[in-house]
Formats: sequence, structure tokens, C-alpha cells
Amino acid sequence: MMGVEGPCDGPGASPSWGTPDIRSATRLLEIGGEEAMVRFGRSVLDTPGARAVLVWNGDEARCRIATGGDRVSGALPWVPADRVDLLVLLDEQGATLVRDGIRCEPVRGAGLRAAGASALSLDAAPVVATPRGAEAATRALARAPLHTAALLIGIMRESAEFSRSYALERVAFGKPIAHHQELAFLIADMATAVDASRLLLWEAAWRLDEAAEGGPCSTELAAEACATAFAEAVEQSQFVTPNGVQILGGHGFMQDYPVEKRMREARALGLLLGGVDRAREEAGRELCAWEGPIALTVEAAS
Amino acid sequence: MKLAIDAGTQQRLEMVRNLGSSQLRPAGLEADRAGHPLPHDHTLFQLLVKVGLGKTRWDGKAEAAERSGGEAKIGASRSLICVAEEMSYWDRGVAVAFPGPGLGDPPISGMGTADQKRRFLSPFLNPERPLWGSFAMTEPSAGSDVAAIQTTARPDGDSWILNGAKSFAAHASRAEWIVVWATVDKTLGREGHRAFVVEKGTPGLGDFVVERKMGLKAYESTSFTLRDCRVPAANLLGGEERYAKRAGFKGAVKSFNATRPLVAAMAVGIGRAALDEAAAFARENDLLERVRGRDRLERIRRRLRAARLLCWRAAWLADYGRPNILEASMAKATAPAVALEAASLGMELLGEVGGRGDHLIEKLFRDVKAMDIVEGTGQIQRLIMARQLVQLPRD
Repeated sequence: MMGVEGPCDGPGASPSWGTPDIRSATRLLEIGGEEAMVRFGRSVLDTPGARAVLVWNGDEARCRIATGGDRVSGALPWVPADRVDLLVLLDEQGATLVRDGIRCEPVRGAGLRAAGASALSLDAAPVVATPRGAEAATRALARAPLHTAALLIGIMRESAEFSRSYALERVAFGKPIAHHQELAFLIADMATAVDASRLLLWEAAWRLDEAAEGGPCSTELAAEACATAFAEAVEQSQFVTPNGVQILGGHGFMQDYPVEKRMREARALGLLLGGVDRAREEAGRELCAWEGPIALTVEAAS
Repeated sequence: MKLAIDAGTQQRLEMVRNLGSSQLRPAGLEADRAGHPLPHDHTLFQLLVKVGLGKTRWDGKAEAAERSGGEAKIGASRSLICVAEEMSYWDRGVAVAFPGPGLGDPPISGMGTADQKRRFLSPFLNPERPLWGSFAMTEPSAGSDVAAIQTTARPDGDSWILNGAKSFAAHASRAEWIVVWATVDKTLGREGHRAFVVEKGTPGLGDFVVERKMGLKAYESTSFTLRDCRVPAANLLGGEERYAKRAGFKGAVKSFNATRPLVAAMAVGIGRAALDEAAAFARENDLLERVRGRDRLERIRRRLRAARLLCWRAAWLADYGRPNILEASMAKATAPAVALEAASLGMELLGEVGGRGDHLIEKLFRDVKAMDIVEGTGQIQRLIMARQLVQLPRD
């Protein structure tokens, strides 16, 4: 749960911070279950404009909020939100929930400005709950980057599709620029990047569902897939979205066209939840635990 | 190719470093935060003129000086690109915003008659206040395909009538004059091109729109139109005689290029700034112990070093009049992509600090993208390289 409800994969995707569906929110926040969502999430979901923000708090170099007691203090340089009504600090053991005493100072924001941008500070803010559970934390840590990866893929799709359409209309040297090989190949590579990232995302989502339903996939395997999908989406977004600008040439650099906005949004999204470093660490840890041949996908149970 | 930098260039670099840290970078950040170009009366521009910048490279003489005999070196590209890299390290947008004749200087001093040089470049010999020139080739429908410009020039008595639209012309709305490229016959491609100096205030020159850009906000990139814009025949660069002499003459294809390595070096400067800022952040936040962070910094430095050497090689060849078309395009194709990666990896190192939108690396990430587009896109450079390497046929 990052104050995001509902699907966001689509053209012009900035996160749709809309309202309420407790079930969909529960799917995103595993840690406290439906009871926690009713107790802490309901007021957020029922209050127009209220926001809940989830932060990866497992790296003190990035998120300097010390937890462990009944109050928390610290700072976070940026969240894509203009207000925080419920702060969920997630680490590998569980979550710390804070409702009051959260100070938001507006900052410019590198992207995602429709969501707002704030620096957070907490000064002995009271903790309202600390749901614990390593497995639930693992699932929550898997869902959050999965959701962010989906946003990234929506942005990439739009960037690739807009620039492809532009390239089919724009004529240079006697033909549409899309028909010049160097751009044709680039457009093909961008399409491949989007589709490959999306398939990794879907496979990871399937693994999570299987793990939740006792299928042939463990939570650890599902978490690895989600981390991998996130890492891939971030990396590919840094290939696709700058090339979305490149294809439009000088027009791409102007703010009249949406592609520069996509480039900024993709870069900003990839910084959340510990960024690619946390994702690679997660995926790498699971990888190193393999003995024998490494399976790329999950074998169905016989 | 010598790898050491000569003493004269070292001195110039030191001057740029002092100016950069005290003036250029703060002005660039100011423009970025304001979201618009530095105004023409900004104190920085007055300072630059005061210290002797903003001048033309033309020596003020009617005829070009003869080269002294026995000297193999014909240019100073290597030195120029070192300075250009350093300027861009501090702020590439501000470096372009400098007063002066800008890109209008080479066509006037290279093609212009003695009278034209005197009229248009003399004000830039020792300017007492900031003055700008401008150059307009690109059009809304003609960027890479320069031969396809649509702005027309029609003779009318002792004048020419220009009609068309230009885009992304630096300083156009504040310039004393704009070198405007137009065609006398669209079917002739480049053979039909003519360069005109259109002076500020000429009726029919107008509709200036200063574009809102992703980055490099310190200087204006401006669109404008020419509507039955009457330009004296005396403002056709080089006069009719120049084009009459050239008619039917294919001429020697220029075998070396000095501007692509220059722009590539600017990209290296931006990338270097990202590297230094990322390293400083890592140092201040105890991230240097982390292998992933170190790996990023190592990769950025390695690729930037290679990119810089590609620029130096191309410039060195140009300085000795040796063919460098492949090398110039190689530098231009490589450096902007490397610099973008530097800024992007720098953002990853910053983490959420990058997301705030107020760190220098975030600005550099937005600034640097243009470098793969201007002075020939990366795609055009690869096309040029392919023609050199595998004789790729022209369509």
C-alpha cells in the first residue's frame, strides 16, 4: 500500500491515488491482514485525499527512521505524497505504523508531481502498531516492488508507443523516420524491453498468487521473482524512456511532449523501496541459495 | 596523440574552474529553479563581457591572415574541447547562454563579405555590453534532414523575401541578428540553401516563442516565424557572387569535423560532474564501502575516461587536418550516452534524495539528454560511422 489503490498500468500512468477497496489494499499490505486494514486503513480509505505511504526502512543510509520503541524519530528525503495520514515503515521482520506526528515539507519532486512530493520528518512520533512476522513481511516486501514495477511498465509502454506513433508520422530524408533502420531497430528493442519486463512482472504476480494459495511456489521464490521483476523494470525503463525522448529529437526535449515527463517519472519510481540495490540483493540472495542447476521458472507440482 | 595538456590550456582551465564554481553553476541552478532562461540583463552576462568574453573569433581584418609556413598544426580543437568540457562540467546551459555571436560567428566570418563581417561582427570585437547573435537552421519539420528546410527566399528587387518558420534557435529573441538559412528552390536540396542575416526588428520577423525545456534552462531555445520578411540583398551572406561561383561545383567533401568532438566533450563534462557529485554523496553518507556503489562509480569513471579519449583523438586529428569523420562521429555517438548513464546511476546512488528534485545530479540527468540530440543525433552519427566502416549505401 503506497496510497495507491487499483491498477495503474496504462497510458499516462501516474499512480492513481484514488479510493477505496479494502480487498485490493489488503492484497498490497500483507503484514497486518484484514483486521489491521480495518483498524488502521479504513480512516485513510474513507477520508477524501488521505494518503498512506509505505517505505522500505531496512537501509539506514536511505531511510533514517529508527524503530524499535513506542515512538519513532528520523527523516526521509522524499516520498511521492503531499500528505501522509498513515506511514508504514517496512523491514524484513515486520512493519511499524505511525499516524500522528508526521511532518511533511513540500519539495519539488523529480517526477510524479501529481502525487505530491514531500520530505518527511518524525520527532518522537507515536507508534500505533508493530505487526511482526517474517513471512508476511516477505510477502509485503514482494508486493510493493511488484506494484511499482507495474507502474514502470505502464510508463514504458506509453513512452514506447508515443514515440513509435511519432516516428511513423515524422518524415525525414523522404520517409517516416520509423522506416530508417537505426530507429526501426531501436523501436523494436524498446517493444521487446516492455514486453519482456511485463512478462517477468506477470510471472512474478502468478508466483505470489500461487504462494498465497499453497501452490508449487514458495514465498521465497515469489519474493525473488518480484525483486527480479522490479530490477528489470527499472533497468529497462532507463533504456526505454530516454529513447522515447531520443526518437522525438528536439521535440522530445521540450515539455510540450509527454516523453520527457515519462523519463523523469521512470527515474523517480526506480528510486523507491530501496531501489535496484535492494532488489538485486534480494534476488541475489535467493540465487546464491541454489544448489545445483538454477531453475529459471517454477516447475508445476506433479 | 599527446595525452598531457599544454600549459596554455591548463591556464584557461583554471580560469574556467574559478568562474564555474563562483558564477556558472550557481547561475545554472538559478535558471533551473526559475524554470526559464537567464534574463538578458543578468549580472553574470555583464561580468562576462567585463572580463573579455562575448567576443567574435574574427580578427577584425578584411582578409583572413595567411598561415605561417612550416607549422603542421592548423587548429586548436584539442584545447577548445578541454575548455568546453570544463565549462559544461560547471553548467552547460550557462555556457551556451554566454553573450557573443555564437553559432552565427562561423558562417559570417567564413562566408561573409568584408562589408558583412564589418557590419555584423564589429560590434562583437570589443562589446561594452552583452550582445548576442543567433543561428537558425532547424525547422519544425526539418531537424536531422537539413536539406528539407521549407523556409523560402524569393528575390524582389534589391531585397529578398523570406517566409517560413524556425525552431530551437538559441538566443533568437534577444539577438542583434539571426543567420537564417532559407532555400531558393526546394527541389535543389542543399544546393538551394542560402544564408541571410536577418537583423533585429526587421518587419516580418516575429512570433518568438521561448520553449519550455526538460533541462539546459539557462539559455533560450526559441521558435519564430518569417512572414514576408524583407531582407536587403546586402544581407545575403557572401553575396550572389559566392553562389554563382559555386554553381555546378560539387567541391571537396570536408574530410574533418571539429564540432562533433566539441559537443561530445560537453557531454563528458556533464557526466564528470555527475560522477563527482555521486562520489561526494557516497563519501558523505558512508556508501563507499558498499560494493554496488563502488561498482557504479567505477563503471562511470571507466566509460567517461574512454569517452573523453575518443573526443581527444577526434580533435587531435582535426588539429592536423587529418580525416576524422569516423572518429568524430564515434565520439559524438558515445559521450552523451555515457554521460546519461553517469547521471542515471548517480540518481540511483542518491536514492530518495534524487527523488526530491533539488539535487544537482537530478538537474544533470535532465540537462544531459539533449546532448544525444543536438549537433547530429546519436542515430545520425551511427549512420555516418556505418558509411565509413561498411560503405553503407545512401538511401
